[in-house]
Amino acid sequence: MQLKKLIGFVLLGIGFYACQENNLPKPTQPTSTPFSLQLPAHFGKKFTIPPDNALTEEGIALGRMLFYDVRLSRNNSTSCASCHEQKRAFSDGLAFSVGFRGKTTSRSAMALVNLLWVDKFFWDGRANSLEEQALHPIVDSIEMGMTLKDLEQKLQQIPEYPPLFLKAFGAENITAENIAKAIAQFERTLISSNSKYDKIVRNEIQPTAQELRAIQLFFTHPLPEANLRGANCGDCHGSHLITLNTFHDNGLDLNPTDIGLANVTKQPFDLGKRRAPTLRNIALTAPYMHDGRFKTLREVLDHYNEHIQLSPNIDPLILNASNEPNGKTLQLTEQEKEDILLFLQMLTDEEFINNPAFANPFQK
Amino acid sequence: MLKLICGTFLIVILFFLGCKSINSNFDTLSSTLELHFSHRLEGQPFALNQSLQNVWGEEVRGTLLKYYISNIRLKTLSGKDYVIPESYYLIDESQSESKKIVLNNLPPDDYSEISFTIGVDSLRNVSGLQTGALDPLNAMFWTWATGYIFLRFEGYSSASPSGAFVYHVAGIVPPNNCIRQKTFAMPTHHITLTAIKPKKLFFEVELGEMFKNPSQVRISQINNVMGGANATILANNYVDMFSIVKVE
Repeated sequence: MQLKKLIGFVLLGIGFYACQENNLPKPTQPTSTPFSLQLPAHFGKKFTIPPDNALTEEGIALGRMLFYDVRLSRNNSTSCASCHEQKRAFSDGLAFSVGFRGKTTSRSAMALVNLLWVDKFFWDGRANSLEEQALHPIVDSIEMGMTLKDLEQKLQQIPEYPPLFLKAFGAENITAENIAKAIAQFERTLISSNSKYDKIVRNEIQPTAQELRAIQLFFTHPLPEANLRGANCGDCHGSHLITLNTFHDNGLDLNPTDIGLANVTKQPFDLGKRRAPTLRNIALTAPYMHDGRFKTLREVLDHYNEHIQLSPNIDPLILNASNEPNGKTLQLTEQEKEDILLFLQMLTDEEFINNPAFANPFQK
Repeated sequence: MLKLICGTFLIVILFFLGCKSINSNFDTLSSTLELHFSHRLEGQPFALNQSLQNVWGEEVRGTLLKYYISNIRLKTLSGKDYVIPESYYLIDESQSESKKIVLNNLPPDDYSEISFTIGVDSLRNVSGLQTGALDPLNAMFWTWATGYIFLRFEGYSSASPSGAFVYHVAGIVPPNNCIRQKTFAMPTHHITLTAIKPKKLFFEVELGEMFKNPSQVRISQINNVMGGANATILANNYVDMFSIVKVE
């Protein structure tokens, strides 16, 4: 009887323990200070922070240093920030980025915005976590040209780093794993939630008639028989994050040369699909698409409105999107295009690109 | 003694599995019921990106299939209703683990019926942003004004003038209220849930129903649905697509 009671108690305890929310893991290092991320309520909670990489003040500060340190590249020329500049919402303004020896990459650098909510990284989704992603450019032969072993040894020799790793991760011995963890921690803090659009969502400001029209148009899939006009953007760039983190072929080329997601899945039906990234701060991140083929947002709109190519895996949501009955193209009016351009401008977050917490720590 | 320890071990595991659900009732031992869903089209096993045919001989090559199962209830042999709290599940053909719903902490009893809503009840539909299966990042939420999509079925079809079909069933306002409920009698008169062994109900989901009963839906004519009258037609058709084919 006593034993049964005892077991009952143990179970009760386990029940409570097992049911605790595990969204925000606790730091494992007693030397480090937990960092509480300010989460915008309208972004939802669909994200995961790895339990072994809780955010800490020390980890984030170290990650920020590493992010801006050119010594992470083979010839001390290139840091993460070289292709991810804060003033451009952490993109670089180029169609193809330039690596440590001046060679160009095969895809455009993606903006780093609200990555906490992203679960597959790069245009083709080949990394499943920020920790995994962070090391790819460092060891890429075009981008930063290091090996993980050389990187560990090099940072170990730089006097300021071992004590910072000790504080953040409890070990002076520098490992690639901890380098990746620190950079991932910093990247998770890059939250953009103070654009005009956010202020409208939070009822802090009232939208103008055109702004309201623009918001509705952006998120609406057109249905001409019901007189419902839409620009069809929200099908892929939906939710308040302005992305659904999904992969699509958006009809850029009849025969896509960049196979995109198929690079990872090896499936013919994924050929030419790429991640539809957030459009937050999109006005700052020209040129557009994975190959930077469009110089302006106007060119992007013209593509979706008039120049869709019937590629093998073009998304059904694009095929079935016309504002005219049986229309073959989107058929937005000139005014509607202006409205969408206005919406895209509303996604610019000046606080994000000027936040001192995200700036280069080497420039005091 | 050994039995007691083994039993305890099992219960510990059940507790850990049970985290997603409900107010645990620690007074009584609880049981588990799993619902398994598999999709078919006119009797053929359904798979995304595979060309099949509906009853009209039209091509159906699905690229996306997702729908909500919510407000799950069980009825005991003695006529008591057991409502499973916070039961909102998103079935997603591309995520195999989503096709298994695990209901933990059920009171052991004899159950004769199970029912659920296909979609999201109107209260949750209008109460703003939600979490879990109802998180907008699941791509089943339109904008703040429009609520949830209950079922998304998209793909290619040579029968469609555009080459594609996009069915988004949504809407809670009559006459186009698309919330549907379905009640199933247990195929074996009743099932007995005990703390020892979880039971499994296997649902076969015949997507072909969407195109034929009671209304004829031809992709050549209806291929772009975003709520409205056509969504109601689809909902009236698909309410009958579920059947329990096996109990384990």
